[in-house]
Amino acid sequence: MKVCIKLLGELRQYLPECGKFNQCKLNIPTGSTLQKILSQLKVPDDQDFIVLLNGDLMQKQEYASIIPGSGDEIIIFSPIKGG
Amino acid sequence: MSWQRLILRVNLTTQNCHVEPLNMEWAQQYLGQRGLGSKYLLEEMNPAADALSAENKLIFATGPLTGTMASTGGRYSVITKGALTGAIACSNSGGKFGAELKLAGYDLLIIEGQSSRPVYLSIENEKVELCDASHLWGKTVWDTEVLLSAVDPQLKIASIGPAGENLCRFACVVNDRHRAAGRSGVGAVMGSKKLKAIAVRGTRGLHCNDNSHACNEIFQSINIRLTKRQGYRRNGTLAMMDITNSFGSLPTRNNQQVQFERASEINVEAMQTRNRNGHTNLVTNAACFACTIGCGRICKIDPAHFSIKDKTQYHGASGGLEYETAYALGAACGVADIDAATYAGFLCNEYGMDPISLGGTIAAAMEMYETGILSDTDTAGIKLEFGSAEALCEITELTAKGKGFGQQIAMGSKLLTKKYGCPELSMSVKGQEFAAYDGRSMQGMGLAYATSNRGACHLRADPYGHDFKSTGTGGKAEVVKTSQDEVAFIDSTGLCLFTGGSGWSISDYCELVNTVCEGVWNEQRVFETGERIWNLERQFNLQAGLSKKDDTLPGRILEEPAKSGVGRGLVNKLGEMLPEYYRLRGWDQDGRPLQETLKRLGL
Ligand code: SF4
Repeated sequence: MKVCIKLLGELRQYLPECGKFNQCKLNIPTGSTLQKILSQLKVPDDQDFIVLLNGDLMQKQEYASIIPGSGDEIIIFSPIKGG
Repeated sequence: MSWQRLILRVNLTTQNCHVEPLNMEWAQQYLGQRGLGSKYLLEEMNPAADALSAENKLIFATGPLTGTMASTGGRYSVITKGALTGAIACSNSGGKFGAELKLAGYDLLIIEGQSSRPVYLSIENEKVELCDASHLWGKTVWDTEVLLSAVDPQLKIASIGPAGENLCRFACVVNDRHRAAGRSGVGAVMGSKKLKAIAVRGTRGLHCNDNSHACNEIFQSINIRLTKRQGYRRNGTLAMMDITNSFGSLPTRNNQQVQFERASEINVEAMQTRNRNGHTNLVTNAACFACTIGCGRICKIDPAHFSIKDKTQYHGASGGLEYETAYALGAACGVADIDAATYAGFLCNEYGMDPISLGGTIAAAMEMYETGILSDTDTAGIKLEFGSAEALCEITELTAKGKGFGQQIAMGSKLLTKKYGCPELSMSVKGQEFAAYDGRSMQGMGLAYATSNRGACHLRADPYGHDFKSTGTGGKAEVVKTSQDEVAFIDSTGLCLFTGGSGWSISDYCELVNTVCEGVWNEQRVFETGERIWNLERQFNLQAGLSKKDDTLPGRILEEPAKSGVGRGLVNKLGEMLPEYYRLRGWDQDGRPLQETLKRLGL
């Protein structure tokens, strides 16, 4: 199945090759957890990031248990300061 | 050491300029720039005085790292009583002007009194002169820079435009064409003093410490730590637009919504993608003095765009949209036209206006127009509808020039809405318009706005990371208080706050300050100094007549739940956070610092 991944701001550099600008449709096995999907992206381990699933804020401890569905939107960004 | 240990004092009433020693005891307590400038302001003026009177002072303050090769070491601040807020104002700017002032030999420039005729201040190291500015009065910032540079192309210039001369409440001071001490109306204070510009040439150099070679090596080794994160250089601060829009904290149409359905037309992608005329908005990035980050955007408006097609003077590249400008002249007004927002931003730089307060006030006026409070007669026919790029451009031009309904916009949203009997439509704190974050999904930012000493501001605390991880109120008071102290310290060094988001930590700031300043600057002293500065600013405001009642948010944020985003259904719970915040600050229930707090901080 496919999910829509958006990597915002400086995380855009870790977008898989199939993507355009900051988003891509990622093919994943049905039943994959959020954790599994995130691990497919090349965001470095020491990078602090935030995940929204269909507009809802996900907590880190939920990553291993949440299973996104087909067509779901996963937005990932790391906090920056504005100006 | 990197304080020059000198103050230049200019009295505009008597037209007298003289140099005096810097109070080094205060420098040890307040470091420089924001802290030291605020100390001088509180010591020297009555905070209850009118901001536009001769009694107000205008202080240009550098920090001990301004003018050094520490990355971003070119910052200066303008400290005064704000014309927009009646509170202490401290507006920070980059570019090259601050470093030049420091290299001319001065830590602080204190301007007092009021001139009876337009003047500009010429500084060439020790040669200081007040000169007639009648030929410059009425000129834009850009024309003023051209005219003064004709005398000496090496001059660095800070000036006001017609907005400052006309006492527009949110007029700013602009230097190097598009860098500005933007907020709180510091440009109106300069205008009230009839001081058009300050033109500086500084070649006296700096004595960093006893071993300048070792000093530069330390700077280099610390500067390199900023290469870890490249986001600001690649995307500018505009990268925040997609984040807040996804999160539901992008104030839209005067905070009626928290997500803008057309944000993709004014975001980084829109700035970097070719439009149908083959034109990209972004030309290149830019950096302030000594900065290795380079977050600035240099942009070009599509020459075929309605705003400039007959105005060739705007066909070149100039300072483009930052996130705050794109929010205020875009989402806040419901405008999804990147060229129109860029044009309005150019006018802000050219005429000397704060784009955040301008956009916030236009947004309030648009809501007043759409709800029938303002009529076509009031606006002289301008259809001030949300989403109208034409109305945005037209009203920006009128405000810049002090004409027509623009004169009403120039009052700022607080006075404008009060005049028409709808103060609830002003999205401001202490009279200063909101920055680009909604305080409902970002509870900490709401508290930061409410308690900021200069009125609503996104750069007086750093609750971003905490807010994006949790929409509850737990821990917010602590995060806001601690980061307010940290930011107050960084704002006093001469460095840019964005170094914090690019890889530097407290220990890096300590190492840098220790390299150029006497004394031992460790983490504990960083927070203690910041806390001292925060409490000093609070004292100024209390003496100016502000109180707990001013530490609040508009009813819309406290009572109308957000309609979408991560914070849908939420209001800001300021009432839960504020008592805890006061307690952590060592203040009483009315927000007054306790005696023991003042004593502990040596105030
Ligand atoms: S990070 Fe941006 S604002 Fe800060 S000094 Fe560098 S270019 Fe200027």
